[in-house]
Amino acid sequence: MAATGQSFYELYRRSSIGMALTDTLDDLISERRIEPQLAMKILANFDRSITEVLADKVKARLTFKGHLDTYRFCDEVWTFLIKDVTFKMENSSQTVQADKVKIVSCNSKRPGDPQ
Amino acid sequence: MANVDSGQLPTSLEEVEALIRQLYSPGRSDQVVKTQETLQKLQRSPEGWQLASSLMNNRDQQIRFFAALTFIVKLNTDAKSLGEEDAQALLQTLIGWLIRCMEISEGALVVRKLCSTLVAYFMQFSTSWERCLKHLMYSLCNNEARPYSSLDEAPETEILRHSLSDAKAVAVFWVATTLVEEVGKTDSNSMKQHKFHRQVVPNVDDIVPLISKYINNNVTEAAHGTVKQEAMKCFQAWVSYSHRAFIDDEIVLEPLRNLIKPALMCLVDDDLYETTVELFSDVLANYSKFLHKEDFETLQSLFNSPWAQERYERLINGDFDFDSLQFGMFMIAFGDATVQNLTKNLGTDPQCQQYLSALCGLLGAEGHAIHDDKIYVPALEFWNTLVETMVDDIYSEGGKHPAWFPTAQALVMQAIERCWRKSQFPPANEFSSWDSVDRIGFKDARRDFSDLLQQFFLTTGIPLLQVFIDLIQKSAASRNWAELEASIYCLGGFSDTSSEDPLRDEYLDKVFTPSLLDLFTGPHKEVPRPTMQSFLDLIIGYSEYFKHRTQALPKVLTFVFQATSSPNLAKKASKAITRLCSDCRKILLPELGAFLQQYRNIASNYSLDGSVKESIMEGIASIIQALEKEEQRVAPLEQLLNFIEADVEQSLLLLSSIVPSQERDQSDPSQMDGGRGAMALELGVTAFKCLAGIAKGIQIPDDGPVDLEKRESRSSTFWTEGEGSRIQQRIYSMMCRMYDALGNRGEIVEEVCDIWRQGFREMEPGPFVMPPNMAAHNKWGDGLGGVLAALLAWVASLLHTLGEPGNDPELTQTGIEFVFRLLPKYSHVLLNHQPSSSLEFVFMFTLKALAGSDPLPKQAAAEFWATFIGLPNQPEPLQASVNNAIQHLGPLLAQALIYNIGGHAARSELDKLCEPVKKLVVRQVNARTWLEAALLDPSFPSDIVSDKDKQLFLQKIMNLRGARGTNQVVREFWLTCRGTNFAYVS
Repeated sequence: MAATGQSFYELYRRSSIGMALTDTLDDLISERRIEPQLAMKILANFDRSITEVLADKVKARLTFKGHLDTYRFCDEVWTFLIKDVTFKMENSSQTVQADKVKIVSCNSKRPGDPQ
Repeated sequence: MANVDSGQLPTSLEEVEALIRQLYSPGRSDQVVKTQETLQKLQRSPEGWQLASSLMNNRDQQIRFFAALTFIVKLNTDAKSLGEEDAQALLQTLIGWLIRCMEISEGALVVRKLCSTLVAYFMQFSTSWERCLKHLMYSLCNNEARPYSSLDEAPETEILRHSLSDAKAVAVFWVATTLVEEVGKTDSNSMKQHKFHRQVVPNVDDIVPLISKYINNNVTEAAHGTVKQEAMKCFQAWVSYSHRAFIDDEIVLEPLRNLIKPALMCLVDDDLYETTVELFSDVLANYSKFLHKEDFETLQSLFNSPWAQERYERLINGDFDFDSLQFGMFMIAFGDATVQNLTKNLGTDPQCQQYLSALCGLLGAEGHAIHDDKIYVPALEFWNTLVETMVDDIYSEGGKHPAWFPTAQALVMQAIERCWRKSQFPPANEFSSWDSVDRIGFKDARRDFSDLLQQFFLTTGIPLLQVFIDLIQKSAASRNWAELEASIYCLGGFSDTSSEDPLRDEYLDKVFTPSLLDLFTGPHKEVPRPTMQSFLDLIIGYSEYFKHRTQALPKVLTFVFQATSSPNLAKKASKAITRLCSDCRKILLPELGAFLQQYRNIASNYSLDGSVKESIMEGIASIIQALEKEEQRVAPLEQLLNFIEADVEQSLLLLSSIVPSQERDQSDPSQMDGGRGAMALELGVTAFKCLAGIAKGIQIPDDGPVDLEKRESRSSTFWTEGEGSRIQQRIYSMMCRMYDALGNRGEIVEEVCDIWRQGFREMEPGPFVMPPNMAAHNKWGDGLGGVLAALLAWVASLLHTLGEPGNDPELTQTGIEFVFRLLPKYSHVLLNHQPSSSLEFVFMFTLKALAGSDPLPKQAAAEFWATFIGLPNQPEPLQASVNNAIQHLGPLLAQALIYNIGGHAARSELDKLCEPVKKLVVRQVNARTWLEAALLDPSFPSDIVSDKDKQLFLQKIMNLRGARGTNQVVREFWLTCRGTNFAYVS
């Protein structure tokens, strides 16, 4: 199915790759090489593709340990604030430390989908 | 013909037609671009409407296609120019054209474009063409474009649908499909603004009867295959759209649900199978609420039918053609949608048991996973989901496992057995013949299986290990290497999850038995490489076991040291040595001499990779670290350094023996003297890697006990002033000599920095914890302040040489970042920088970077200025210098910031640019004056905002006093300055 009815989160637009894409689309519009309508469609495709690619293609993984400071579940969005976090990357003995990490996680299925 | 090169527009219709033909004919790409530009100018011009009308009756199909395209362009860009009557007339024109297309049996290319044009019309005039599909059907039935106002006179849709020919029905399906696809793509803001759902929804009552005509079992036999397929595709698009309508406004398109049953029956129709199975797979995966309980029952009985049995058999017997695979995906989608019911009713409903057994069977299809068997990974994902469901329900019934748990566990065990078989590597020559995508995919599938095992462990606990221990013992006895490898791999997957179980070591005792170790250390070397590698991974994963079971340690160490001699195993073996030495450091202390001897044997092996030597050095150094007294560590460290020094000397000797050559590139040793230079470089890199290895190994473990009672004692000076200083001096000397000889090579710089980093992160004194001035190479002055001042002078001179930030954005960025990092603690170093002209240059340089176009320097400059403006009060006379600099540079800073916010900056840079704005507003009394002057300056980049808008913006950010809302206000102002074309994203 073309999945036209299924909509995807726009949250990856704020990722570095999403922002780079938006900047590029802005440049193309400035140069009058594309219309804003096309930019909108490209972003909608991006929402879909990045969700699918992250789910299906990314196999790298890491583990982390830390102290769970705050957590909440509001409007189907989980938020975790973790302190003193140690990340351990796959295939690497090196670790990465962070004082504070915020994890925002949404249901991979949009409301209305089977849970 | 019009000369497109000179930008001249055509003056007659013939010229336009010629240009269109030229556009669609093969030709030079630059010519095509110019032709397209000329035609686009025409399309966008006010005469575009007339042009489209004139072209639509042309004999040439390409020109008629272009006419439809021109209507679309005009509708999307210029619909507002049409009054109500014009719009109705246009609709009549378009429908009339469609009717003519039907009469002359126009090709699909033009008809499809025309259908899209009608949808483009709907998107602009949805309120005045609400029942668009019925109106279209009515006109098509009458062979005449009827006015929309006459729709009340039209007969019921039920009657219209019978009057439509198949060709006309196809056209309606195309319009209806495109309609919901286009509306479905509308972003949420436009959707709310135009209320598209409300306009589209009434049309469902018109399209459902027409679809029903073609997919209903009673009539499908008679209808032509193409029209049935278009009907099913249309149904698919509408179901898909109904999901969007449900998400946005909780609208349920009930009439569509009446088609579910007849659509399900179409699965057995070969013409409709592909579309139908895709439709239901997607509905099950994404919108299963669309289906009624009875639909699930129908689906279940369908899976029990002979038709499904035949397809299932074909699939598991190795038919992975598209349609066969689609069936497997359909089964899995049904499983995913009903996984909760399937598991919870396992004990009571034999159909659930039967269905899950069938899904388990999908894990055992013919062929190797990925390379042949394409259903394995999706099926494995289903089983992962099922196990996750079990984990969620472990203690759902009063702290006990639910009643269905044992049955589900037994089924998962069957699935695991099949996955274990699928995870076995094919013979080496076969595996190496696969392409890299398949090889990577196969390994990924093994990891997915390992994930499933780790999840399942949560429901079974440690006894799950016994399954693989039995398999290891059995396959080792039968010398079945592929099975042994897979079993070892699976057992290795539990190393993290089982680490805290007190019984784990007892289970592992049955694995690390003398007989199994003999198998791997035996003289015959019959064990293949993948099995050896997995065994090394097992040792790495369970290295802590050997801390408690020292009897197995000697044999394991013999095995890993032996393995270092094999190029394919050396890396893993050296990693195993690091882990074993680190975990068992205290136990291995008596063997330190033997380890040093082992290394001596290895050191002379120049074919060994530098990172292998590094890992072994790290391991030995961690044993040295376990020596109680600092004095005891000196001698063994000296021995390790002797090995490294030999490499350093050898490298320097090679470099000194190189004959200088005018022709060769002297900065690249690899180019020098027949490879001697390359060898010297490699030895240098290896030496530095080994030093870094020792530096890591000698670090005090951070998971040791902390003695809270212990009084703070003075740090030991053993390594800086005592006997240990000899070690520091040797290390330092080696680093300097090697750096002086090869410091122009990036690899050497990287390695030397790695050695320093190891020392910097240490909390306790040690051989690598050297004073800062040593790190600054003794060239940069005394004490940290002196070093930083000297470094700043060097950075400033680099930026001077650079001149403009854009000449080297990378250097600009790192230069500004260095200055920025000085600020919080060492602002005095920056403000006392001499001569004052150089300091002024640094400030001006950051302002140029801020106003420039390179994103990374701009970001660094924004951070620098935000921090500088926000510096806490400094002691005098430093504060006076800060104030002076800000008063002098504030107007220029405001100008650079406003220049960006006024439209110059990229969208992604705005948040970073807001930080200095907020700091200015909060901390500087003159901020308003500076920002106002910048807003009214002629350099302001946008001419579409009025002075009033600018004043309003200024007022808003001043009122916000640096609050977070500033970012939104800045974003809105940037958008106003750029224009509405940039409002396409929220």
